[in-house]
Amino acid sequence: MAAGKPVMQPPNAWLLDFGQSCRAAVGTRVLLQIMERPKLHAVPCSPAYCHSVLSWQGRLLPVMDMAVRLGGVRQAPRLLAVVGYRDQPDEPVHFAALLLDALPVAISVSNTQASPLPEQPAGWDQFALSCFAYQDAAIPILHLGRIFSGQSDIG
Amino acid sequence: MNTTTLTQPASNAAMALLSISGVRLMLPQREIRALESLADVAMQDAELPAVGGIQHAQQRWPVYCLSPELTLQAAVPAERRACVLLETGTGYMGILCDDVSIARRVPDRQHELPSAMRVPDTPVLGLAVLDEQEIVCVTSAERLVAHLTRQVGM
Repeated sequence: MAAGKPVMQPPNAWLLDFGQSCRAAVGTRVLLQIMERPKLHAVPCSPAYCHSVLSWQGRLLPVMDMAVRLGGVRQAPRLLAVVGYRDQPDEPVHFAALLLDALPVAISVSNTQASPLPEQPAGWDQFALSCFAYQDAAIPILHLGRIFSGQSDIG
Repeated sequence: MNTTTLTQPASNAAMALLSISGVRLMLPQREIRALESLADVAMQDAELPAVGGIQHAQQRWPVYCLSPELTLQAAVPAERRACVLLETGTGYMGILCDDVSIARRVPDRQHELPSAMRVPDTPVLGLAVLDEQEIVCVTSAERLVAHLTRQVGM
């Protein structure tokens, strides 16, 4: 390799677009599947931000609309991401789903890109592990355990 | 915990399925005190938020119409054709349904409602998959009555 040529890092995160200017990222291993227009099943008396379930491999996964979770209006995204995460390294994997407004984009992120959380929409501090700067924007890294635990101060 | 947990149903008792504008509620059949036709519901002189009244055990009891979100609604959709009567502890109340049937096969597993979907006092106790494709909300007469009673303000 020629001296001084920038080294291309392999992608280590997925950039997710939830619509309504709401974007965040997860690690590449977290995102398991993208589905287009999946059949969702509404559950009455559940919060607007998590109002349906997806039948997936014998499980019923909660479907989260992060834009609504952060105060946006309900929408009808056509894409859905199935994610798997652990609350602790030695704990079993939990599965869940996130509504998306666009296909995820693979990106490379390093510690040098650390950034404060975006001020808008408010509430990211409850749902983000950390944040990085990417193309002049602050991109939170999702804290899926907290997002799907149902524990937060936001509506 | 926010993954689906599978639990055994409380019993193998026959389960009734109530259809309300596309939402399917499943509860033990024995918890339904009576099943009546819409024609048996007197729609006149209803005391709001009830949409009508029904005779049972020599008394008239309120009948309510629910939205797919299980909130009270005053307008009765044309597809409501049946009325189930549930015991309230001090009497009875009716709920209009599009259809009432008995599950051909009781699901052998119930899924816990994911943590993020739980709200206080929800009448939905869990979820179940019927015939490997249809997802129904597991409830009970007690939960439904409590949910309605809160809305009615009784």
